[in-house]
Amino acid sequence: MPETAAESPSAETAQPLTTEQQAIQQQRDQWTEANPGTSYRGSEWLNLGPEDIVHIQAAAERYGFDDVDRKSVEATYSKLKELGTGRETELRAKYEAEGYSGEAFEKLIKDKTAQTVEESRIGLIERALPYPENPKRRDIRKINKKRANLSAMLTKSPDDFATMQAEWSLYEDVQHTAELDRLHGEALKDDKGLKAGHERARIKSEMAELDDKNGGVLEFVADLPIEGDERTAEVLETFQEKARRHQEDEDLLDADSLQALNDFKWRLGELWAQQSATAGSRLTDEQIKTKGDEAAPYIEDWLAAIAENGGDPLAELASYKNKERAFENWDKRRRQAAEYLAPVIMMRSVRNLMSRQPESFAPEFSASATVKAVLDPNLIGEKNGASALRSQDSLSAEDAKVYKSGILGQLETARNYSRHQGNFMKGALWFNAITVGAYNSLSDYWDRLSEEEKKRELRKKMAGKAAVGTVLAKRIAAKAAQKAKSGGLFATKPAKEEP
Amino acid sequence: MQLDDAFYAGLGRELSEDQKQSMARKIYSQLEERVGEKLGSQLSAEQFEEFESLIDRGTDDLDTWLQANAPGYEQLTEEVFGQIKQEAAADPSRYL
Repeated sequence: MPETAAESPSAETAQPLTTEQQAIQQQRDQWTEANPGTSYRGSEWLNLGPEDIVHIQAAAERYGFDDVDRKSVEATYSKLKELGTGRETELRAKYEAEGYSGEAFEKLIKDKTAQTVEESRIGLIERALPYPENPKRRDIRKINKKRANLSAMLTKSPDDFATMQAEWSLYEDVQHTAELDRLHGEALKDDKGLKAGHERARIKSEMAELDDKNGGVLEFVADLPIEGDERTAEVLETFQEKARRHQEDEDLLDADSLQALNDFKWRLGELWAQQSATAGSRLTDEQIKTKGDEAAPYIEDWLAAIAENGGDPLAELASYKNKERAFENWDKRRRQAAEYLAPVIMMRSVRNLMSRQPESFAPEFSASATVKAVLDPNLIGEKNGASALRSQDSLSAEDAKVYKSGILGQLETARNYSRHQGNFMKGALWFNAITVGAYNSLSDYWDRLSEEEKKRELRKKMAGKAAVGTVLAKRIAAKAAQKAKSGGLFATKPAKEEP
Repeated sequence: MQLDDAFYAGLGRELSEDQKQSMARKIYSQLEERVGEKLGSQLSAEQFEEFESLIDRGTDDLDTWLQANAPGYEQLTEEVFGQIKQEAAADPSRYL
């Protein structure tokens, strides 16, 4: 393979052509002859031979190019020619079939790129949100829903993403006003007074228990248009009876069971059609059939579980729906109190990484920089810390308390990352690598770090945050106490002396 | 341990409020990083596990733990802060 474009087989200084290259040259000549007035550009504009193309293709497969043009291919070629191949035959056949035109080559890479980026995106999402071992249907549904949300976020167009960033920026500005901080504090206080977290967890636990008893599919079933009317009850009873017989016989589905299943699906389709008609849109027969087919296995699992564990299907379902409503109420309270935390973190991390150009990473790239970029991209800690550094004299004991709880909140976040950093950080870095900088090696870098190294960086980050935050909070509290002539905030140790 | 007006006045150049805020953020960030680096080399894996379990339990008394496991951490923080301030005073552009 040639080392540079000038040394490629088509350049004047190239070695004598191999048989294969002669064949390609012959095809090129045939192309020119068959297409008078056009120029065969396949290797002219890059001075590339077939092997080079294969290497670029391999690189495209591995990293993906968003917008392939001559310049980017030339630039990328020199960096990626070392990469492996494995698809030469297929590639060459396709390449040759398209007449070796430059346009065909561009299209080939663009198509492959789009495919690769899509595959990479799916891979990223799957790694970021893996299924648990031996997942139940409800686990799969939950994860799939999360994956869809993440995918929607990652596939926004540049314009939409910029809009989202602008909105987010506005949100951040507002978020940190003193008024909202105060409201946030009140919400947390209410949350604590009502024991919202405890109630929420209790109901969730009851729901999980009920769900287990019902085959682990109640979340899905609760979304189905099953009402507690007489006809529905009859259909379910019939189907349950058939299912029980089927189970006892340990036989394949008999004709009666099959009929019951079809009846049930049809009934379900009818209910869906009624519901969609109420909502102003009608389902087609095909849609009704598809929905019935999708729902059937869930219903089967549900009824089989009830047959085994005892209970009335509709009563179990009503109980679950009641708990679900209660949970949503508590969850809403909880979200109000924690409005600024969980949903913000991941979005900011991804946004921050995506907004950086790979060049800005490369010179200073280090494990701690990586940890920092992902762990604290929103600069909340730095912003509050900077305020504490600048205005200790004017801050009150209450401010010190708020600051201290902010530090503890960030440490909890850091702990959360330290438990889940593998998937999240790798996913974030990988996404950045494939979309922003095709030839950047961020993901490789992260892969090379051992688990111990990753953990050590996170721990250092936490230790620094804990130490600096604690010292500053103590200083502020001591100054406030000095002013107010009242006790400090820290029961364990009073502040020593003023700096 | 404070970035007061005297500090900014000593930089030998006029800074806007935004620049001051930006500088304070970078200094704070650098302070956390360097202190974390130093403590990271002092603490054992067992101590870190204890530290993490403390956070998991939701304690608000990190001071006691730090005093016991990283004695002198306050002084260390002050020293590092002093160093960074000196660096910033010598070359403000580094922190702008």
